[in-house]
Amino acid sequence: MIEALDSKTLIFEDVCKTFGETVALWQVSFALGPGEIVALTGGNGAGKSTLLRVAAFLLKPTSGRVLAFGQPRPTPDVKRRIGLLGHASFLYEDLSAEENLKFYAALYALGREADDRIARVLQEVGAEDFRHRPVRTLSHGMRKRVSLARAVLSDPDLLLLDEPFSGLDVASVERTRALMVEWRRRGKALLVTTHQAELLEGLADGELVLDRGRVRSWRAPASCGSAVSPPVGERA
Amino acid sequence: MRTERALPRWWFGLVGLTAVALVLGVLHALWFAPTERTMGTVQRIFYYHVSSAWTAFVAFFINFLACVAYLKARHPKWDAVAVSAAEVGVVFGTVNLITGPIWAKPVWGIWWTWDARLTSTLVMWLLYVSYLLLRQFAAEQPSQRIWAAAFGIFAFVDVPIVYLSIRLWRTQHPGPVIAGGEQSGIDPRMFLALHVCFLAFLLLFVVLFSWRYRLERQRAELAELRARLHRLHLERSV
Amino acid sequence: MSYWTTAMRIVAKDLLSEARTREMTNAMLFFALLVLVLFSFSFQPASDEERRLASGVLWIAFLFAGMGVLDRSFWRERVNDCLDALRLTPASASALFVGKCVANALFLLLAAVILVPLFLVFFDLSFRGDVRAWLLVLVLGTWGLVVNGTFFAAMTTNVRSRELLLPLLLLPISVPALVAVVEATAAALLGEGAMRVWIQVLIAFDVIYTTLALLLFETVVEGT
Repeated sequence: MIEALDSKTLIFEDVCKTFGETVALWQVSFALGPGEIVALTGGNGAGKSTLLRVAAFLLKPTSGRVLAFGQPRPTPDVKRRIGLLGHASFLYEDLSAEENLKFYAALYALGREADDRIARVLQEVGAEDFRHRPVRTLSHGMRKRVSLARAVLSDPDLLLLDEPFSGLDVASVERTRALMVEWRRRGKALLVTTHQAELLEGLADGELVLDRGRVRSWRAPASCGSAVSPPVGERA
Repeated sequence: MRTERALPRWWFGLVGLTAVALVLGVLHALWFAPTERTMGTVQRIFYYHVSSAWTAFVAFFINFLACVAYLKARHPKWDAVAVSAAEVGVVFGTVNLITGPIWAKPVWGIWWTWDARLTSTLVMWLLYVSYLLLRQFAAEQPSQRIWAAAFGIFAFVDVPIVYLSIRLWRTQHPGPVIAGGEQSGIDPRMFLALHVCFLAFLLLFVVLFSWRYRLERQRAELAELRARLHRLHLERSV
Repeated sequence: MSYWTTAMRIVAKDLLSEARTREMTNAMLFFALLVLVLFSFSFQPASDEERRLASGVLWIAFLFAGMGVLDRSFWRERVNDCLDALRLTPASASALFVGKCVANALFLLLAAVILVPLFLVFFDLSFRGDVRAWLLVLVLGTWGLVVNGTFFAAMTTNVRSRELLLPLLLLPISVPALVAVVEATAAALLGEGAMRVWIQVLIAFDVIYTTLALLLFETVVEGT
């Protein structure tokens, strides 16, 4: 079965990103649809974080095309529908977890919904107990959970998660995995990087392996039909 | 984007023409123009002083246009135009700032005065030195060209405001009285000498500018070639 | 959510962060105070001509305070890459810029509230001219410094020697505003000379650079 491209959440077409002589991404093509989890793996410096930043429109590709929700540009609506858990925490050290979320809720224009939404995401990631503590006093794992709460604050449909398991204890890993299953069930598209591939086992529908900025292998999510699909451009 | 290896013919022609114009300028400034009655021989530096100021203005105006063009089109050639014009402009500005006091000391009895024209020229010079420093400091930043272009626009817009504010400032304070104006009944031979010098400096500007521009483009080309070579290496190894 | 709400959220966030640590405020105020004290060792104004000079001292101290404020301003957004997170939100870049400017202006005005009385005491001065007009000069001058300073601070956050580069960019651009505030302050202290014309210069300066900064800010932070 061949799915139409416009039903895809995120499409990379021949994306290259170079910084001077350094090649961060080279001719990367893949597509991700709603209700799919794709694992993004590869060694250090493979370009995983750059790929996520390009997907979040924080970096412009040097060549090629990135479409999120069919849009090549980050309109306010597209921005609201993308959630990025970055390499850095994106949190203000001197504010508490809850104050951070309130600030971002305002920038996402959540309005009256804000308080409910904040309570829900804090509960989902298990950060209720330390919601009032300043971020600077939190442990690495606690910060990771608050960062994740921030990433999903606007209830985005595309989640880009950079190393969501790093620094988490076993219980928190399980909780995060359960959350990912729940998000997939709700039709969100997830692109997740990890250097511990076993943590995504049985969870990822597809896998994109990068090596020095190039696609080493691309296993498209099962719903797309064949195990190894041709490059995106030829599929439609 | 390959640039020509050899310098183009017209460029050598231009260098020749510039040399002739500069010699003519010297003849006019030191020989043909009459000696000014009150200031004497030292007044002859005026031809170089004013010409270098005008040329610097032209250079900074080109910088401004190139900055706007770069932000619009994002083509590296506009950035190369901007940096070349600013660099050569600062050189002419320096000539202007050095010749000024040499002229002022014997005539006004002081090396420097904070009058509107002098001070604004100095501030303008400072602004473009800042522009060049910004480029140097931010050299390896991916957005450095955008920043430089933004600053170039800020700087150019500042020049008239500086001039206005310094003028207002000077009229508030009784400053040293500046004898006469240069415009008071200028001899036609002086007028001619000034314009010959200005033309010679403009030609010199074009020569230096085009040379600098070429250098900048070749640097960019080299960087591009190296990046491509690097990629080829990668392609082989994958 | 409107433009202003976004801007005010940024202001509230910056004020709250600063209130928690007081790192920047303490250093800034102490630094400015040192400048005042050191200058008062070097001269005590006795004549009107010297009082005129004193107004320059006040603004030099103020500039030092300003450099501290501006340098910290985007540093705060750089820790943990918060600036990236701001760019991810649908909030408009120029609203973020306005918010940062207002926060910085408030910090600087706070510095003025402490510096100005000390200045008057140390140099044995008082306002003989129109104080209310001078307050307007203070606000306009602060905004003029802050609008360019915030713009350049945002630009230079990732540059190695940003502490050095920021004044190199800001000071020459601010020449007209500095001439205006120093002259207007002298006029207010001496009770003679025109302040009106300097207020006009400051308004023109502020309007021109606020417009330019708003137009170009998004381009500058978006980058390549």
